[in-house]
Amino acid sequence: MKKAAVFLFLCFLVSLFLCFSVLTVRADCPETDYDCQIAEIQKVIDALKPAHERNKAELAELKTQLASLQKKLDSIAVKLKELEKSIFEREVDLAFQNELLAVKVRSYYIKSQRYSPLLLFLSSSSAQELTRELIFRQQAVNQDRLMIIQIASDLKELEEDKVTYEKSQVSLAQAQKQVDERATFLEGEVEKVESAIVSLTTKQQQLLAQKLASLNLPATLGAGPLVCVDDRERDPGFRPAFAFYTYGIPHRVGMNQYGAYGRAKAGQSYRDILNAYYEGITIEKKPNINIKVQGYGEMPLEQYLLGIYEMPESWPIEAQKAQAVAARSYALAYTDNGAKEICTTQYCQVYKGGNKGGNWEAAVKATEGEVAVHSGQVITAWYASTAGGYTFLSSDVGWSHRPWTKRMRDTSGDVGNFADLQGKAYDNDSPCFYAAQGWRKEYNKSAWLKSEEVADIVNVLLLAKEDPSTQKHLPQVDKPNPDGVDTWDAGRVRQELSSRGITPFNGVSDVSVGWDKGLGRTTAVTVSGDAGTKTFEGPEFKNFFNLRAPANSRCLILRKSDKIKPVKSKVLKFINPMPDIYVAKDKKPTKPKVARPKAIKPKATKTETVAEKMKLRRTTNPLTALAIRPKKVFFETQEKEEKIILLARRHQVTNLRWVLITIVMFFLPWFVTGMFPQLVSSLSFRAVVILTWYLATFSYAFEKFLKWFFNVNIITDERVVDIDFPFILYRDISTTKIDNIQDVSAKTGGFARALFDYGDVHIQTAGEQREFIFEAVPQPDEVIRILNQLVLEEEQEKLEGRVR
Amino acid sequence: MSPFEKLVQFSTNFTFSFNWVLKALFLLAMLFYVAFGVVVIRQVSLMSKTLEGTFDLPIKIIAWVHLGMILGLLVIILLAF
Repeated sequence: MKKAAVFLFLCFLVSLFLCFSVLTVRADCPETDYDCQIAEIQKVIDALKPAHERNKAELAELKTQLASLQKKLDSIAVKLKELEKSIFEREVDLAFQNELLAVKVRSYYIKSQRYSPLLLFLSSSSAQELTRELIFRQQAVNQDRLMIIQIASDLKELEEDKVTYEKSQVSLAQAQKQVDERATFLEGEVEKVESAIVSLTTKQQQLLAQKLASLNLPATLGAGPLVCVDDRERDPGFRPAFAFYTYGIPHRVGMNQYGAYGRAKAGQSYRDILNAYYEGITIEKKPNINIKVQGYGEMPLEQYLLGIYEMPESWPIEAQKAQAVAARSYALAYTDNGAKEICTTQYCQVYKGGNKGGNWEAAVKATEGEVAVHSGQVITAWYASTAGGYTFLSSDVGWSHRPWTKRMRDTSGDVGNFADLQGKAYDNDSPCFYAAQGWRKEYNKSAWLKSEEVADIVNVLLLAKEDPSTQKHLPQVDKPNPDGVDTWDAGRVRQELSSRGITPFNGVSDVSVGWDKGLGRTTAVTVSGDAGTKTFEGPEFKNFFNLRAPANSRCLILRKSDKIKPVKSKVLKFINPMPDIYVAKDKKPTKPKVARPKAIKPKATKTETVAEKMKLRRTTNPLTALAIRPKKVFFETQEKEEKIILLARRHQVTNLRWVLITIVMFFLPWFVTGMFPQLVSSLSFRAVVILTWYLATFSYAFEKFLKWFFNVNIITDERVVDIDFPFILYRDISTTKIDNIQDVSAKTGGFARALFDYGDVHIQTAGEQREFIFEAVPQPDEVIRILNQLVLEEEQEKLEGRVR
Repeated sequence: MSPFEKLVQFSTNFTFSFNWVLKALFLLAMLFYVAFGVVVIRQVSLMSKTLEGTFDLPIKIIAWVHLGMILGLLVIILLAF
């Protein structure tokens, strides 16, 4: 048995070695080639899983054997214990018998010496007495002799048992140690495999997140009205046409705002709505504590709620009440009952100050103090604009598990097909309930794809699966290759597939989707075309679609901003959104069955919009500290189409110090020569000294002016630029994209700052440089307003796919 | 008079002047100042390249005038005392 266990153990070690050998083989994926790395990781996971299962089975078997061995060891230990006890008892007995033996030996010796048969013969009175006495004495001697033999034998046996016992004890300890070591080792090995799988999955998610971090979708309605284009109403002008759609955006965890709207319209109360979206909660009243609001200072919670802009004014009061309770719960949980500060952007909750009034004020007052509580704790009540008919657990989207989140089909009835979903989802009024993301201007600004373009995407997927090392050549052809290698066009991809013995697709005739109607996730995508029918898993198809689709088309938007903390709705992780695939062949795409309630308004360019909204005027004064859309000003790294929205310097008042010093320096020679007329007697020397002094004064003032004039902060329609000249001939230029901006705040304080209205603007970014500070700029509130507008417009542009 | 005799005469006639020392110090300082004036022109050039605007030309002119004034002062010191 022992040998069998050792053999199995060795088999296990060999299998582990082989398993890890396979796992450690990696293709050379560049750091930025996320899909390549993802595919590698997926392969590793696929390879790990069966091996891991095998290892677990073997471990279970080995565990059984080890348990059996342990049982036997225990039994031996019990027997040894009995032996030990017996030895002890026998030792006690033998101690007595030893004494007896000594007595017996002595008596035997004495008897054998003292009582000689001759002496007995002479002393006996009769022959009978002599015979009896002889027999008796002989028996006594024999008895002594037998007893001596018995005791000696017992002593010998005892000595042997003691030796056996000691040997067995050592063997038992060794066996026990070995069994323990093997069990610990096996546990450790399986744990290692377990942790390898977990870390890889996390890494995979991180890579996906990195790749998709630049995509932005509005999370909540606080970010502004939702804008999603329904391409079913647009004719791309070619047939057949394919478009890929997704239900809902973005994370689908917690309260679905459009769902709340639908439920309120269906007559549900705010308590029904909250209970529908949060698992196991109770509504409780909490006191109106003070909370700290970024940029607004400390204020009572109820006052803060009045300035929340997270739901349109026109929505039913019950939806607004649900929103008020969610927002109150979120604020309390986020600030840890007022200990922490809450931001005012969509990264927390959109707060604009003051009182929004109307239905919202009524909702806040009607639910005063009410929060959602789970297990005695106020919940971080996440919410998002549109769940697309299904909500998820927080752990489903990679966040830490929260027991109040739930998987739920958010519909008014059973769902058997997409039409059911579109008709019965509570949030089907959302313009982003069912939408394709991305567009191309040459096809009526739509996301429709040609048959050969879909075929190309499928070919890319086939090639990447066949040979993952080709992935870096497979991103979309109409944009620069992120890895700096050559991008293979459709023809080259077909050629590479053929060279690997795979028949490529030239065209696609049909696409269908398999989906889990309980969970709301795509499980399979089946493509039919001239190369036959191929079925892919939903997530892999999605990844390669997003990698290869032309222009900015993305069927299944994935997004996670990994640069901000995982709070509320803005942090989204990889999930399996559920795409429908709409196929139109030889006819105009059919009209949608579900009416889209919101038309998309044409939007002006960003610069004009910002200018119009804020009624800005163009600044021509080159010496101003805050120039709005300054004329004839350019900076070195400015792109051709990039427009400067705002140029800010330190407020002119901050120059007061060096100006005063210059004035003092200017008058100082007069003062000195007036006070000490005989200080320098030589006229020429005096002239030289005074000239030098004035020149130095001029140099000082000029240098200070240069530093003020050229140290500028620039906001363009695409990014924020900080130009700094800290020392002579030393230049520092930092930039960050507008969509990297996470939070903007202003700090003012002090008499001069309050009087002249200037302060520091702090911009938190998700870029390499975490914070940009516009120091002492005039009108910091105006700067913040402009930045916020730009951030919102950037997000809208992304939604509409108009991002440069 | 032989060169040696000239040297002996110069040595005997030489008198230490505080003005000469002062002038030398001024000239040394002015050399550094001229270097600073040149650096300012380079700095203005770099700054103007980084941020182009309508005020570039006046600033460049001022920087050159600044250097001119330093050179002028250098000449004055050479000629004066």
